[in-house]
Amino acid sequence: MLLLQVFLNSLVSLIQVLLLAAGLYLVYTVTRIFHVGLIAIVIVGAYLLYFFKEAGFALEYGIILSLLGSGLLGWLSYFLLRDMAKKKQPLLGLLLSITFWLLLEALVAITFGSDGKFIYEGVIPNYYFAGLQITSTGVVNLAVGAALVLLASFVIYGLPVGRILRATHQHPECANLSGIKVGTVQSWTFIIAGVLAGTTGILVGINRAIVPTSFTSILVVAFMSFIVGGVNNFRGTIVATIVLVTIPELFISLPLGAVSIPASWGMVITFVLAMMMLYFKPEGIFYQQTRKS
Amino acid sequence: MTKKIYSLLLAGLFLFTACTQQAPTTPTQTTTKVKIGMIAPLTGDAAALGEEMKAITEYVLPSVNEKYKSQGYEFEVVYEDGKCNAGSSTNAFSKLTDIDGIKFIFGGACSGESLAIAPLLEGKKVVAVSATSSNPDIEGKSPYLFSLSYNDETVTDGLTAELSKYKKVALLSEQSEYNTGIKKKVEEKLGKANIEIVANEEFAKGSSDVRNVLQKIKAKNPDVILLNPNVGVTSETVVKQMAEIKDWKVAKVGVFNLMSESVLKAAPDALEGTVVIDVPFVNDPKFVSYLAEIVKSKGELNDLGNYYSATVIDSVNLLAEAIVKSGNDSEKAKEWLSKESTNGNIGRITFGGKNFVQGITFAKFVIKNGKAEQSK
Repeated sequence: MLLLQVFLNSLVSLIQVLLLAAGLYLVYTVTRIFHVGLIAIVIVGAYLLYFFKEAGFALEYGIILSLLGSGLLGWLSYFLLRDMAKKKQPLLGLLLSITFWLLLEALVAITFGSDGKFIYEGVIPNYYFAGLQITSTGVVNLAVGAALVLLASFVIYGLPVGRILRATHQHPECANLSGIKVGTVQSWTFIIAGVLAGTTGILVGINRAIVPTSFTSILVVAFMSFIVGGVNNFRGTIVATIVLVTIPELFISLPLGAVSIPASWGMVITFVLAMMMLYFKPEGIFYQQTRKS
Repeated sequence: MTKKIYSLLLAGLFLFTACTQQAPTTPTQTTTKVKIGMIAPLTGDAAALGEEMKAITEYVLPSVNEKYKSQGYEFEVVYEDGKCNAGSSTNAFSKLTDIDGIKFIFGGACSGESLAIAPLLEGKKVVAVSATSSNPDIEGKSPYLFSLSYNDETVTDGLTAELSKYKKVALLSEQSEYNTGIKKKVEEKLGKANIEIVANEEFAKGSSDVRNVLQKIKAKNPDVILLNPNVGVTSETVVKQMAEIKDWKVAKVGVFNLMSESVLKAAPDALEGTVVIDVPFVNDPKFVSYLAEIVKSKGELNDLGNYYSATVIDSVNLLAEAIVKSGNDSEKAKEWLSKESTNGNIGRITFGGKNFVQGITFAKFVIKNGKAEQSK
């Protein structure tokens, strides 16, 4: 029963990581840039909701405004990175993206203070079933997150727009010649990635305390999942996230009698798993070979 | 002709000026400006602690300056962020001593900060007075480090006594120097008392999700749990997420930060009946009204609490007194602090050659109706 409960709790974290990884995947697909700065939009998304709540806005308006703000930030980050994408300078793009992250994180810390904040005051109500329990905000995390991930998978693999994304990734010049407006595709992708990151922030924020510097672990796991899964395969990212989030949590919760593995070993196990997978499949476990032109 | 008139006027002016100049009657007293550094967490998950220390220091400093003005001293505090960790506090120390040329420091605030700067103090002849560092490892680390906090050794005596009333004990600790120090001592003392520790869990510093760790402890079915998180958001997190667990009947024993107003409000029902071991409240009416003035001017001091608010005020007064009595000589100030005694809000302050202030005992508090009451 303990392991089932731990698995259920881990699913909530998994969804949050997966949404951010989806954003990373989308931006990489259209620019070949690792836009780690999306974590800044996660932070801003959470703090915007906190701000609107404190300002007396109804929750639904707070969420809508936070998502709008997140989308806008995603769009702004496009202008920051588009030249790097055009010049095929992914390393400089990564550097700019990191700067974007650190700048926004510092601004949030200056504006809101760096002590912890709770969007949900008091004890979060729980649902109980078959000896298991989950917080109501955890249910929201699972429902919203799972819906968005499924939607993203459907869009990427089931709709023509997915093909446009992949075409932009594989050969932007050819895509342009065949009538795809690469710039438009890229800017909309950044907006969507921003909204996904903002949603991650909101989901994290309603479920636990927020501190500007406390989101880094989500980025680390999301980034590793994205790499381990194979950067051009979203299904791979999903599988890698499941492995890298749930296995460490289950491992440290194993009932081993008098021996107990401390919770802080969770991240160590995540790194070991990622290293092992990358050792055997350096390009990621689900990397798809594409023809080079 | 005009030239002559100007010359006469100038000569007259010179004579007038010379006549009106007075010889100085008394030599003007020079003011010695002394910079004191403060190393405390101003960002990060324990920032609330540092911000409150800063607020108190800012409030107290003008009156200290007024007190020593006649003796020619004026103090200025330079605040540096120790982030409650060793690396940042070492950087803060280097900045304060190498760039600002500071010889006196308030702090570190967190035990980790104090332990990190302790080996550096003697080489640079810098005196540090901490108001809040309580890790027992501080004792013997440096003759230049003084802490007005109780030694955790004292508190762990109280915690062990309380936990020993039960058969199966669980420990839940945050991985900070302060909490790890408490945990190690409690483990050691429970071991000597042959009390079974059924779960001994730790979570990463600043964690905001400890649900799985709590489930793991619950599965071990302990009679009592020691809640040992650090100040700030983790204390609230632990209490709130513990309250989420349905029908978990377990006695709770905790450290001082569980009495913080924000933690008490976080999940009042879950904390009802919790025993907290801390030092006795400082009830001196003069201190209580002074503290009320600070709260009115600077806002709540929930994270520091009663005793540590008193020690922060005392640290400012004590260090200023040491500087004045030693003539701004850090070596002499160290000797003075080590050997002499003075009065403070926490009573008679004596180090007696030790790093921790002497004569502090523990007290037991019980949380009833959302408030901590000192138990007799």
